[in-house]
Amino acid sequence: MSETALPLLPQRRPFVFFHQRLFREKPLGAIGGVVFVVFLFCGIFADVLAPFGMNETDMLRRLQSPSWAHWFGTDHIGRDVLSRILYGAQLSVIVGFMAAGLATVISIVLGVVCGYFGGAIDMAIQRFVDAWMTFPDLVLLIVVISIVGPGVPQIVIILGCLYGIAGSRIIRGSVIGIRENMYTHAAQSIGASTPHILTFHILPNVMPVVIVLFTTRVGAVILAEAGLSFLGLGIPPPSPTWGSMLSGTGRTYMYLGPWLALAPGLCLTVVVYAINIYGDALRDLLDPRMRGR
Amino acid sequence: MRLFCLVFVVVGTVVGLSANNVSAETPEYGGDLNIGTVNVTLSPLSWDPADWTWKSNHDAGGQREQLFAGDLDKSVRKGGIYPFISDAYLPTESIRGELAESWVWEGDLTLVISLRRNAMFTDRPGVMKARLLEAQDVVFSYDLVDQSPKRIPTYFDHIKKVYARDKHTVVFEFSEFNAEWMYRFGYGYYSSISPRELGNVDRKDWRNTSGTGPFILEKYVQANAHIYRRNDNYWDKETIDGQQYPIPFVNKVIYRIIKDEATYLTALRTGQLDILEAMRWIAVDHLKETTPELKWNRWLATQGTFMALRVDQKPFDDIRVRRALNLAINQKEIAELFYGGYAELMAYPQHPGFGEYFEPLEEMPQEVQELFTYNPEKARALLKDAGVPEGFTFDVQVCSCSPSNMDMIPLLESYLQKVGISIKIKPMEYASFLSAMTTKTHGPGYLLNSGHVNPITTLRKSFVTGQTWNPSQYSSEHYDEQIRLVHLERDEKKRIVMLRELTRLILAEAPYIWLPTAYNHTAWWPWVKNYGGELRVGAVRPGPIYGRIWIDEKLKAELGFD
Repeated sequence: MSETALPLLPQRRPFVFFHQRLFREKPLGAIGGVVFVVFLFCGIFADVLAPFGMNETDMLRRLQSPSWAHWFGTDHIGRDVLSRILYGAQLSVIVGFMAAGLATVISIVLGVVCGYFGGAIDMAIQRFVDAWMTFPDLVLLIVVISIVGPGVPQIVIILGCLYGIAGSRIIRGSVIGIRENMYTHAAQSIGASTPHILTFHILPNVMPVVIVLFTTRVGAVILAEAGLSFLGLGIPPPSPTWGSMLSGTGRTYMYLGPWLALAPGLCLTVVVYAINIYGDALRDLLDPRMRGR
Repeated sequence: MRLFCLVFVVVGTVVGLSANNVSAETPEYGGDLNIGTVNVTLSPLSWDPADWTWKSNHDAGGQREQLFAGDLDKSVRKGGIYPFISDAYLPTESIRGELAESWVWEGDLTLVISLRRNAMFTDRPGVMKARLLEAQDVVFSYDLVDQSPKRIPTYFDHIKKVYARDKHTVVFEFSEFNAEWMYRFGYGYYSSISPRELGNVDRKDWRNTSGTGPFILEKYVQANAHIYRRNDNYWDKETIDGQQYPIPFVNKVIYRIIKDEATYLTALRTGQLDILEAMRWIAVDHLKETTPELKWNRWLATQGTFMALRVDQKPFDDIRVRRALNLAINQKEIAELFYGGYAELMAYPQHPGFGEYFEPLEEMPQEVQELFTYNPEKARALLKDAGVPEGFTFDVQVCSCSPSNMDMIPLLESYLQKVGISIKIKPMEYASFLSAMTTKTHGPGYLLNSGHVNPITTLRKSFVTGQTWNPSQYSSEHYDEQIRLVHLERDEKKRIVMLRELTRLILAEAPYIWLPTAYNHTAWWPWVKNYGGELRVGAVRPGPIYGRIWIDEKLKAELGFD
């Protein structure tokens, strides 16, 4: 018997394939993704990209309008606004990713436990989630920050908990659906352990939802942090958060230096919008129920 | 020198007045007066006089009167020489009796005050019926603050006894002379006169406040507004062009509480505020351009700005470190660029408006002048001598209620970094910020605006051992003793010499990072009449000024503000 060579199928590269689809089917989402990547790049390499130090003052060049030397102008104590925007992006990346990461982990743990086990555990946790969600986000944030004080770790933990608990609902919904699938029942029938089922059958199947949840949470967290900083409850000065740049010098010098408000305001708007449309596009592509819509 | 300082005060004020508001018009009654006061961002701290809160006269001073007050007939606006800007300093010649109709010394240590017989407490349901002021009310008001556990140490130590000789005469027996006697329980922060009935009710409730003043507190909305209505039975009158008019003229005075700077500036521009008493220079040019009708007055702040360094903690117990920090800060640059030139390099702890008590920087000794020069090299050398050549890190607390300080602190951080010192900035809201200091739990660095008050108090409150408003916790037996002797000195010329020496001494000791004192601006609409930008006629007490303002409703309508 001679061996017959089977024709080679073209090698599938899921990442490239997925992004080809993204650009082809969701061009707006793809642009959002590009902005998201640029934002990440700026945040990670702010130290290299920023032409000046974030707190490098020079009173002789205070309140200069945008120019070649200072693309986004300078603030009231002569700091380069572009550099502060870049360092602000770094802070937003840190806060956004850490808090969104924490939120996602909390959502997964609560959602999977509730969705898979159901019963009394589900009832107890979900009533707590119900109670939690009745508090307005901003009020809750202000109260907690007033008690524990402002700072990056505090904000990450609080925002992580805030969005994580609320987000568990979404994961729970997905898990309930997956739990009833044949392959889950099959795994249970052959005696697979619960941790095995959760890790190898449930979790991989909720990952599309998790990815979408994570991206939308990044935008929400950045916006929430900016809101807190705007109210003076965010990361303390002189850290250049976009929210504090808006509320501090941005408002005070709005007539003498309108660029001080425009620069962080535009960055915030563009980044959050981009992350949201990117998240929407991911949802459309990854969620089987959305296909064809 | 006296002439120089007098000229400084008068010219400073007159130059700032874009229109001197000497009225030749017949005043009108009615209308509401909306004000963003000097403390527009702050809510009342307490309505209870026994709480010893510095803002009490601001919040209740239109209602509660005092024994003495500034005589507005001697104001610059009326052809006099007094601008009535100082937070708590009334030169003796500018004082008039308010509830004190007359006063006389019987011997060296007995002061006898005859009270006005027509001053009447207003009716307060649940508290009291309207009735005339009596000497027992003054005794009650004194005892209320004197016996409070929150009393500032030594404040009333000079008073042995206060009693009513008859219904309209009150006697103060002193144990020793005190040069500040008129301030301490006359026109000071803690001298308001309340009715005896206040002892039977909850003093912290604004509904229970009563007084003999031109206004009655009608409503207080937390963090929003104090609303006062006119007291129809008010005893005082205003003389305009030789004719006397009962006051107050306006139906209501409303203090707006607005925490956001952009919002209160907008409120002025849109006529929601008739007067905005204090704004920073950065807003002025734009406002003058967009709202040319506004009238203006410029005044040197009556609060010094500084970063207090806790001298009871390392490394600030070492004078070399404290002086190094002063040398590391470029105060001249702050005055010229951060404040746009609207600042004096050195105007604290004495204020140029204090006349001969104030000594200009150029007349100070070299060791003081040096602290106002920028010399980072010498700062580093001093830090090295002090054993901290690599620098150090310390916490600095700052009140988020002060937009100017919040703007300035990153600049201070930047200067200090250049000599290897890092600061951790801790913004705090006002109540916590103040409470940290009064309970002495504040941080090693404390960026504060503190009132000049008057030539003696500015030194006593800030640098005498154990005083409530001593944020650096400075303590020196020699200094305490010298301040005590100043209080005992009856001759003002001698007091001036002593206080100048003590001012030099404390400046050189550098318990603070000394910072420039900024100019502020007051703006008001032209329909606000009989007003020239005066701010206080007592310790942070504007009530009598508002009682004399009237609103030209016709002009207001003509300008499009019905």
